[in-house]
Amino acid sequence: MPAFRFPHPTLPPEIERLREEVRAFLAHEMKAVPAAVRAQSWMGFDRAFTRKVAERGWIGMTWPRRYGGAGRSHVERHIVIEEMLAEGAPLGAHFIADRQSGPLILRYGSEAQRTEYLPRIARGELAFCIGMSEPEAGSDLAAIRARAVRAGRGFVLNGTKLWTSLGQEADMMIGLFRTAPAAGEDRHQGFTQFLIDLDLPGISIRPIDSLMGAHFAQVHFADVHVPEEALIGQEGEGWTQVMSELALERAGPERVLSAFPLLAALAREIGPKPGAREAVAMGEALAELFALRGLSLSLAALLDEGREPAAEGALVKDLGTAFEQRIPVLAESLRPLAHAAPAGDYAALLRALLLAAPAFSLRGGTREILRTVIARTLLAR
Amino acid sequence: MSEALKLLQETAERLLAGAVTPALIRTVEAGGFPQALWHTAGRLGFLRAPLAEEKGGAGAGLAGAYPILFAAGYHLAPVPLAEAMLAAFLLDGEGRVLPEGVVTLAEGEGLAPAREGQTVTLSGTLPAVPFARHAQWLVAGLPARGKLVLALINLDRAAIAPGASLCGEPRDQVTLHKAEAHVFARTALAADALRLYGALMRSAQMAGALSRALDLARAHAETRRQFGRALASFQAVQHMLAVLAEEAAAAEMAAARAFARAENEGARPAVAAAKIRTGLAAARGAALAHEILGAMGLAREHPLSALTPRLLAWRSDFGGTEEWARLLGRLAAQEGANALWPFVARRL
Repeated sequence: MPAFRFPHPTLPPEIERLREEVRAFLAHEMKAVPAAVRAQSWMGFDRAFTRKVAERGWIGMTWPRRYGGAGRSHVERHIVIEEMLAEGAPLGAHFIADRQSGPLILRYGSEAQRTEYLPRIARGELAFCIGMSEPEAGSDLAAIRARAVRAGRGFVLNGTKLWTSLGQEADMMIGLFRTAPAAGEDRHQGFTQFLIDLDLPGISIRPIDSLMGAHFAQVHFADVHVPEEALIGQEGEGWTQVMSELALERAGPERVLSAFPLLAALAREIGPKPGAREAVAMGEALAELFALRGLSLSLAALLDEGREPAAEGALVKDLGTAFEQRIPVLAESLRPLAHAAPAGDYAALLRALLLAAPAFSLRGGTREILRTVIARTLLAR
Repeated sequence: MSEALKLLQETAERLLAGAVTPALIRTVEAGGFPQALWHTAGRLGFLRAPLAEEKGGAGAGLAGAYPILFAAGYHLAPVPLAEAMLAAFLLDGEGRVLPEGVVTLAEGEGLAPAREGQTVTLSGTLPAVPFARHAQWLVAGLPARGKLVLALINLDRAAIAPGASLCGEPRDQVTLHKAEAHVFARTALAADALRLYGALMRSAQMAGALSRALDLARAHAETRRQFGRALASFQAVQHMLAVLAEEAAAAEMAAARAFARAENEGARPAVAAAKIRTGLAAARGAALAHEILGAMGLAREHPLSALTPRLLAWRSDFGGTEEWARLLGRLAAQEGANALWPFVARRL
């Protein structure tokens, strides 16, 4: 009895037209994007680029039309995203919103929240970040200390979020706060999520300089007043919502293709006549990618079935990020940085990805957490 | 999956689950052949699975072979199902029917054809033909001027020297002296098509065996107790199971994707990728399964001790991982050195 089901979607031939549209768009829009930005993959933040993507209807593709979406499938979205990731397009100004913040509002939010925020996200006007991790709570998310206390009709927020991707650039945050103490043994009770305007008084944001660049931020809340309308769904529903978000955060092709621009650059360096060792190494990498693309598409198919592929997402993410991490190692072994033209694209990509690689198996759930999630599902079924 | 395919899968599952026992496997290792199982497999239409519906097949081409071979790999079926199905497919391409009895298949590079009036005869030695000592017929593929020439030979007068694969299944040396080719046809297929499709068959078998390895490891971890608790309660064991599940999932996806497009123009990269990926998973998965099962998995009575040698043997058949990786790397470089992503999107 198989524990995991990964359906094999056959892509309808029309989807190739969508692929060609995206390629034509990228051929034009990526001309001015330097290698150092492409190396950042979807963490590259570019509002102008995001607005152009929005104009093509490629943000919020799977959302209902009445909220600014296109009513298209997750498989179609996958095609668009994988084409963009392959080029290292700077998707940061809409990626998180498109991937999970918007879907969260769609599923758990009020009609007022949906009509207020979804169209703006789809127009590329609103960038989101995720407020989960804290100094004392990374893998152990239930240990967060940030709290929200009722004040009149609204809430007062206090606490610090850390490692917030794109926190400095974003307009809004969906943040997880404690609204009630843990109920005895159940550490997952008493959490609530809020839609927070990052311009509110009392919020201070400091970028964290890291090996991945300056993409992470610390977001501090000192008596920040948010209205009742900022609460998403029900008070106390925070943990369920976060689990839902994590399934989406782990289910995408960005967990497989973050380092693809480097692999493509490596292929260019090697050229059309590789030596035996180069051919074997590239062949193995492409074989891994072959399986991973299928698995990633499969997750999109599961989303289209209306499922929440939490364990399946964890499985693909663990495999995918390990693959991403191997690419700079492979590149360095076949075409060392020390021998590469220092001002060239290849050197820029390799340098950035060698440094960024450790983060791939940490962000969005560490390898160790993912493996525990996978095993738990395996042993329960 | 179509209804016909689903039915074939269920039937194969039921038959093989019941018929393949450790005792049966040992019988084959000792030189016997499971005639009843082979006869039933034929009667249920397994060998015809890659053919059109009107010929009794699943009507899905080579993809029809996938569920049966996955089940055969899962249950470690010690019979040349892959060989016979591929033989049936290739013969059908030339408008010929698979003969009755046990049919095996091999690459025929060691054979030299000669014209004797109206007939073609073949002479030479093939080193490692699966189940040859039990087979009445051999389908061999000879490369000739860039195309595959398909030959069907009766083995009644062949000289057979017994040999064994890593897993103890028969791999016999076959020597032919002016053996009549009952079929000798220059196909439209590429010269290495038999090797390519053979590699594809093995990918399905490996994917099935990995799924079995995962089930065995999981069952063991849940029931075996040490230090007062189940092995499955230890994080180290949980993580090994998780990685084994990942490898099994990747192998199955790679094999299934390759089968789905095997007959399309330009399928070679996908088939190569499947053989490579399942081969990588086979090595990693075998090691993980043994680590989880401890000493018990090494014992002859335990199915794992028959499973992992099969994974390793199949990994080498029809070209090993390194050979297919070299081919895929070269293809990617030829077609995609300056456009790797379009190559991946189109061919992988």
